[in-house]
Amino acid sequence: MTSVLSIRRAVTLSFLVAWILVGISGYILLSSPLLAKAGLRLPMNIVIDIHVYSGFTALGISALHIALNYDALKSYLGSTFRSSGQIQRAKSRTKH
Amino acid sequence: MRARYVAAIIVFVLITLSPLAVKLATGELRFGGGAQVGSTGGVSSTTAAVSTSSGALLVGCGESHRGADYLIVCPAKAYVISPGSVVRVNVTVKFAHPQPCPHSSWRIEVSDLNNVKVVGETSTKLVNAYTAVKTYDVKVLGNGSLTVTYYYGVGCPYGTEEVVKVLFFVVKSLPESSAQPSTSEQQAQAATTVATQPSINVTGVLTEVSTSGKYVIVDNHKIYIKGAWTCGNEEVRWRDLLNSLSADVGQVISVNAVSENGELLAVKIVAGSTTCVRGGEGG
Repeated sequence: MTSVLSIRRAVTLSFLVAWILVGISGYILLSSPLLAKAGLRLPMNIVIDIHVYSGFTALGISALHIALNYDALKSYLGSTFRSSGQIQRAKSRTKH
Repeated sequence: MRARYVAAIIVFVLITLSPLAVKLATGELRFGGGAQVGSTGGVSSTTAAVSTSSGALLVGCGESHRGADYLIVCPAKAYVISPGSVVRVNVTVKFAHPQPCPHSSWRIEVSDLNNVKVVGETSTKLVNAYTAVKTYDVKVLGNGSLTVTYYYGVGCPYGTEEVVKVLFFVVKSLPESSAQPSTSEQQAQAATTVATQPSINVTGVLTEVSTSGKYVIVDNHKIYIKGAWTCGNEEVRWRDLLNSLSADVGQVISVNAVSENGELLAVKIVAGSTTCVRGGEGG
């Protein structure tokens, strides 16, 4: 159980770090034309590589994250569908 | 449960390695290593090659890599025997990213024409997605230079411009170390000689000394002075040497210089009875 917990912790933290890297590198890439105009030259090749690799790593980790939290996900989806079905039924009852 | 984890691990590995696999497959695997250059055309250093055309000696290629792309201009130096000779300057741009790119307004231009005239030019051609070429026919009117500039496209984040200066010299005879070879063996030997020590000896009136620009102008040649020097038994820095040369403005001095990145860099200076050698022992 402890090992599952530590795996869960490692996956969640890796996911967080990967997304932070994606976010930071994405903002740098987004603003790079402005930075270039201002005369600030960043090693864009490195930023692009960080963005691509961390993005795909985050995507890969998301598969692990889903697997680890599958039951919870199923429960969320089930309750969502159930609650939306209840709303539909309530609406139809009001009409009648 | 177990099968789900195994499947998730496989999916994780596949997705995470997919960009690596794509880059390996396309042959552009790099991590912050810049452009992949050398597959077509290659990058020549400033003094890597020497070739001759009728009455001209073309030495090396100049290269600029301030941003992501490379600008390569061949030759870096051209020696002609008679003024009015036409030298073909080949310009190559090696792109870090395949063309067409979103910032497609890049262009190649020549400027700062000094004692030379562009008498012909071709349109810029994309040889492949990573390479563009253009040639200029330059008429050499005297000792001079021109600057080739590759401007990155507007808004391109990878750089603003790459600049290479090409030097032209009118000489009575082609430089001794690279005299026109007759056989392929001599040609190879001359190439090796020039590649290892491509130097030019400029003797003339010292007209300007710039401490801020780190250069002197001798006989219309702008020669940079850098690093540590030995004058006699005294070791001096470039600044001290330039300060002492200020007293010799108007006098005839002799400078032995090598070409580096399209610029002349002094390695030996003889002013009056003083001989200064870059780094080593002076006389």
